[in-house]
Amino acid sequence: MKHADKFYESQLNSINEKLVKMGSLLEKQFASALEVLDTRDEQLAQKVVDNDHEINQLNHEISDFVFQIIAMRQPIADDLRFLFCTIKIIRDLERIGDHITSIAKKATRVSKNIPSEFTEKLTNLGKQASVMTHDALNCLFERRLSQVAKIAKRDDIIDELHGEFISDVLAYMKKHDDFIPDSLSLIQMSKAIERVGDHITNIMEEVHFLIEGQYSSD
Amino acid sequence: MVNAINTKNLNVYYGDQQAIHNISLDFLKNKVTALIGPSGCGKSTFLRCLNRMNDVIDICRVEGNISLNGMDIYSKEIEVEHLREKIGMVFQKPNPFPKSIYDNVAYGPRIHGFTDKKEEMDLIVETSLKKAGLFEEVKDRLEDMGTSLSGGQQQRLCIARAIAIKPEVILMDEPCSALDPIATSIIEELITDLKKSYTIIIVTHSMQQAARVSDKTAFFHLGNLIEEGDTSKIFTKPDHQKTNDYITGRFG
Amino acid sequence: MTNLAKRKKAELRFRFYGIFSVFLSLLFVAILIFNICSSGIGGFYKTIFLTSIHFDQKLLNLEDNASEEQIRNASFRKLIKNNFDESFKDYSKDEIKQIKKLFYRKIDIELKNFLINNPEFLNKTTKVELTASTHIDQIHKGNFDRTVQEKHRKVNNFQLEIYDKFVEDQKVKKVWNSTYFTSGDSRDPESAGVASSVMGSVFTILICFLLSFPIAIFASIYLQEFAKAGKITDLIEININNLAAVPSIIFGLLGLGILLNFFGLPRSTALVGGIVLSFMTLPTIIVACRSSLRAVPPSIREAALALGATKNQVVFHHVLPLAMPGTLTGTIIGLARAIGETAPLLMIGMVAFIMDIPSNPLEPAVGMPAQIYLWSESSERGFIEKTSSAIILLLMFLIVVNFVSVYFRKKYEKKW
Repeated sequence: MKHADKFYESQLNSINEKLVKMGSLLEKQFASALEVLDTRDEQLAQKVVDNDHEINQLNHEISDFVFQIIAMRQPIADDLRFLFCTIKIIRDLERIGDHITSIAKKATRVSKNIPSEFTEKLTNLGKQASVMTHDALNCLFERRLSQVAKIAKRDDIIDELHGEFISDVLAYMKKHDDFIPDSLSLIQMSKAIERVGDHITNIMEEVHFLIEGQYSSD
Repeated sequence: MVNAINTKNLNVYYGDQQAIHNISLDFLKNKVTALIGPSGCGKSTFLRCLNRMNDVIDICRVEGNISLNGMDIYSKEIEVEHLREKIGMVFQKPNPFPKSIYDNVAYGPRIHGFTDKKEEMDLIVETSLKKAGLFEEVKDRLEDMGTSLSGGQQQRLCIARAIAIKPEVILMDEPCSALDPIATSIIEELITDLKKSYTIIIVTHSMQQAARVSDKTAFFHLGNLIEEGDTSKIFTKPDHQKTNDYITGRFG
Repeated sequence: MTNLAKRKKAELRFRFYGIFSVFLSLLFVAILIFNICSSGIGGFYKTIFLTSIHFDQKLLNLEDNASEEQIRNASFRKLIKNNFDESFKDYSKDEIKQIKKLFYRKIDIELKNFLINNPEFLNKTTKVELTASTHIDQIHKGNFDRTVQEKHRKVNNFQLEIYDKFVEDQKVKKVWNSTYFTSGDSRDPESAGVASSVMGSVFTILICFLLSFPIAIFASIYLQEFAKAGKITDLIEININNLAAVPSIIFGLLGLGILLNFFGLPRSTALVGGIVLSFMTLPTIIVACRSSLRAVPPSIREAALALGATKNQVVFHHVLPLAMPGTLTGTIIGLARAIGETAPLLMIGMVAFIMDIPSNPLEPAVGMPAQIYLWSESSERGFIEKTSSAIILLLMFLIVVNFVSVYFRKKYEKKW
């Protein structure tokens, strides 16, 4: 059912639209960053860096807008939960954007002649996180409570893969001194992807609150 | 948690029209319960059943059980005047008698024969006015007409008048809807104070007022009780979609 | 002319019509009052002769220190004859007879009352004021045309001569006519007074008020607050409203048929008159009271009920006091009409010649309007001014009733 006040309804819809836009930008950024890892394309990397400004701007826009609505409309119940969670979620999304940007930047610094297994494993890790992000955003916009726990659980897989990757890189680094600068970059990128997973988990917690009105106990 | 007053399977009819459908609702002692709902949902009708004010309407028929401290209020052993001594009422538009402030407050105690000594009556009037937060403003002009006060003061006078006869329950039917914001907040603060001594049931159209003032909230719709619970829960995560839609301003 | 100018002109014209109408009405009222006052003022004064009377004990056949009863039983005719013969020694017997006619024919009673009130003058000579005859009274007040032929006049030339002489000797005076206020009706204009009719009206109105006011209030309260809405209540309402428009003489017939013939109540008394008038006044008061009760806002009733007041307490502590101003207005209207009513009183016989002042409502009485009517029928000149004086009194009576009601209305009027 729609709000009797059409203007209020349109204001809430507008926030939702901006959130959807922020989400889809993020997904595009993630795809581009993974491509940079594959091609080491410096121009593409610069594009990713530039596009991050738009994500930051949306963060501020949405934040200001929500603040206005709370002051003018004194929202309660589901409207309040939506606005409250939105503020928290955009923070996580903005941080995810930053992490993706750092992945793109670091990817250009990695030398082209590193063992392909590392690039493959990292790309795989990245794709896992990218799919997790995509599914999480769908879960948020479609308010699918049943998916929340499952998606949040995938963070465990990412953490595991990340742990394995670090071990492999460190093991290789011990045997090859010249690999150290690259290994640093690889480790940082893996860390960034792992952080993305954590932020997605946070977002899932907020989605749970949004739907249920309380945080889940696990 | 003690029940001060409660209804069980309450049905109210105006002629052939059914206004209240099978409502069972408990009101806890020394708590404020707000009744909310759209116009015509039956909350005022329900409120007026509690002190049998609907008795004066010929075509109104009440079925079901209403109990005050476990006693059925319609039983033959209870005189309705005695019942109204225990359950007071404050109305939407302040309605002080066209008598002096003193006589307004003293009227209830007089007709119920509390005392015939002047000093004791003076004390009753003073105490009631103090409890209603009005004494300081009128102590030098108790002989002035009750109707010469401002709207907010008149409403506090009506509250003082109601509490002068030492009720257990106070019913309030949109007591602030005719008042400005400052007078409203004075009365809301008063309600929060009064609940220490009385059980209060307040009908209100303002969500914010219900949220500010009440411990429990009950949502009525078309004569049915849709949901009731802690106010904090109703206003953050109500169980029923209808409740959510009403309080967030959605209509369909 | 522009539309606005036309409207303004129309407004001015309208205002002029209004002011002119008010002025015209005030003019008529002023003419009426002037007329009545100028013809009626005279009635409050009477002409007297200043005489010197010797109260000869022997002529009265009284002992020293005679009791009041003895004085009352004495005959004063010899005394009068003696005093007149002495004062007018120079005149013939016939002439003295004519001089006597200048005086009120009942001066023997006047002298009797004087001696009763001043017994110390027995056997003494003193100045006494004696009432002049009604004709001299009219002459002295200037209502007499001397140019009319002697045989058409009530007073002949000789009598006029004597009168003029008295005037020259300053023996004729106009004094305040207290008998007008203390005596009842009489065949002689000199001794006719309004006391009996005033008391008659007072008793009648009192009985009317005492009966109609409480009955009307209780009936209104019942109809408004307690009666269940339905066909019977509607029927009662319609009938009451219609009663207010019934011609008053019908109530007289009712009084005649039921009170006099069936119940056998004494005819021509203020009691019956009051009861008949109360039939008439009841509907007016009921209608006014009911609409005032209806005008009391339900919020007051609810407030009282919510405090635990019984229905009776709600009505008598709150609703009725607030309905009082309107009710009293209706009462004034009803009583004012009743004071001036004559037709119904005629039917029950309150139009007789009443000499004695009634001391209670069960004695025969006459109302002021009927008295005025009776006097206006008389051919005597002296009664003309008495009629107008009575009208002035009636108007003042009305004003007093009005002020009393307004006082009570203001007392009950509260702001809400």
